[in-house]
Amino acid sequence: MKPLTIFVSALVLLHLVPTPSYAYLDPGAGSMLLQLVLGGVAGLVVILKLYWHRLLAMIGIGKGKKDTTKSDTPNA
Amino acid sequence: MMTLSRVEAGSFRDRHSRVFYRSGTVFRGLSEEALTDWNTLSSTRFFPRLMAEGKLVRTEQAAPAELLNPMIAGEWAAVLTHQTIPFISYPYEWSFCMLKDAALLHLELLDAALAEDMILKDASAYNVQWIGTSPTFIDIPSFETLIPGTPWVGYRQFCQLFLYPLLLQAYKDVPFQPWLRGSLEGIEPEHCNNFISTRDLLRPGVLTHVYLQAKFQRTYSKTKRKVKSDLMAAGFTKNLIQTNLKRLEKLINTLTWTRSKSQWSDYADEHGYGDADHEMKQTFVREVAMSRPWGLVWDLGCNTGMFSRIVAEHARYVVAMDADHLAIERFYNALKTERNRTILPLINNIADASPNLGWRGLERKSLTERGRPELTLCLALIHHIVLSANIPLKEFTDWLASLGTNLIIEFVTKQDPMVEVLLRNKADQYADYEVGYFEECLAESFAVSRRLPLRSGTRILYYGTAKL
Repeated sequence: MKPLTIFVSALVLLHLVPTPSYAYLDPGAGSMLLQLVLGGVAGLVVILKLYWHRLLAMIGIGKGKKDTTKSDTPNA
Repeated sequence: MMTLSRVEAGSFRDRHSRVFYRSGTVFRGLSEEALTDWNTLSSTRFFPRLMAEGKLVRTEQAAPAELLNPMIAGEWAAVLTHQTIPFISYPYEWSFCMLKDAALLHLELLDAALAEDMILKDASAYNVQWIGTSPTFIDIPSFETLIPGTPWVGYRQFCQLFLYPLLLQAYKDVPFQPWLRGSLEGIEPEHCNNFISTRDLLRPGVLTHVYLQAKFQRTYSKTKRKVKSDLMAAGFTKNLIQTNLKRLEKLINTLTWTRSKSQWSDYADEHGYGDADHEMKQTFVREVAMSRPWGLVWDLGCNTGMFSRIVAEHARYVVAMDADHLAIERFYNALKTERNRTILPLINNIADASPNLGWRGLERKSLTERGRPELTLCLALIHHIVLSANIPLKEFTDWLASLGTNLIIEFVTKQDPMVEVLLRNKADQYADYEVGYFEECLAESFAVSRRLPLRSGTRILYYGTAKL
């Protein structure tokens, strides 16, 4: 159950990244989000809340919001 | 009242507090914000408990009179005094188990703090110091009130300075000390990820803390989101931090450093000279140790620590150093079982001792700047320094003299079997390495009062007091 949660959480987070801007580097951001992956089911719930709209857009439901990106290719 | 305070030059990163020294006491000035956190901290239940257990450095608020000191007045809202650490050391001088125990201490502190809604601002391994083999956390202002919904901002630093070095040594048998000495920030997730293989992904902690962290760091480094506030809005709870802490605790507890024995770590079993000689040596050291009470003592090339122990009975504090990582690891574990608080084992190669590091070379001090010994033991070491490290004999005795220390030193002649091993595959270019010249050099800086040749005929002990 636990490895599965990690797998799903990581999958979700790594594939719903917005197109990188050329904003100032923030090396801490990734580590903070990783804590959700390591937080088990509770973490997964938070991830889904964070990316709910994006997730919906991916599967074609919901209003076409301005901030949904055309591609979901992760950075790297 | 008007004695001068000396600012700790390396204490500048946190703008809310600053360390000062005066008359041998350690003070810390606190800003208004830091004072608020201190008030919260001192009223928790865990704070006095952990202080009593020796896990937090003993700290109390100084009397307001301290604020009248011209150096401090007007700048700080309050002043704390801290217990003094007998001898400062750094993670790149610790053995594997020492770093492991420091990591576990850090996690324990986080656990205790979180239970009462506080957290640590950062996760630097440099915030742990030692009293003998007892790890103590010294950065009191690092404790702050936990704002509900915020993540553990110290996680990445914990990985860089504690976890990755331990993984490097546990999983790859690569010593972490040179890396930490070369990079004060520790090992980056991306670099740690580069040295793990695909097979390592199956080992505990690697997939999550290494691989995913490296990936996430890369993926999110240029994100426009305000991650902290987003997490708060999405319902991040401290529960998530606690879950992660438990995983880390479990992981670190399983990490061990298994390694084949090094050439010198069986020294005690194979010391290469008769038992009678060994007895004579112990007696010699014991007699010097008992001759007067000693403050700080250094045992250079301590190996198993036998002689450190003898001196420790008559000294305030002994710093036992050796370049052999395994010897220090074993010594530390033995001392830890005894809960020893008088001897600090450290990894240090005298031929390349810890230098000044960090901003302006002031943040991490060189070995000799952290405290000068009153007595130094230099047993079965000089042949390594001169014949292996190629340091001229006179330079070594001059260096010992510069410490201003009294000295017990053992000269090992070229006829000794241990020396024969060292010279086996080398051209003997060491004309300076002979007794007569050695005694000359020694006499220049030390008043030699005792000279004892051991029965084997290949080893001579000397005791000298520093000439001023």
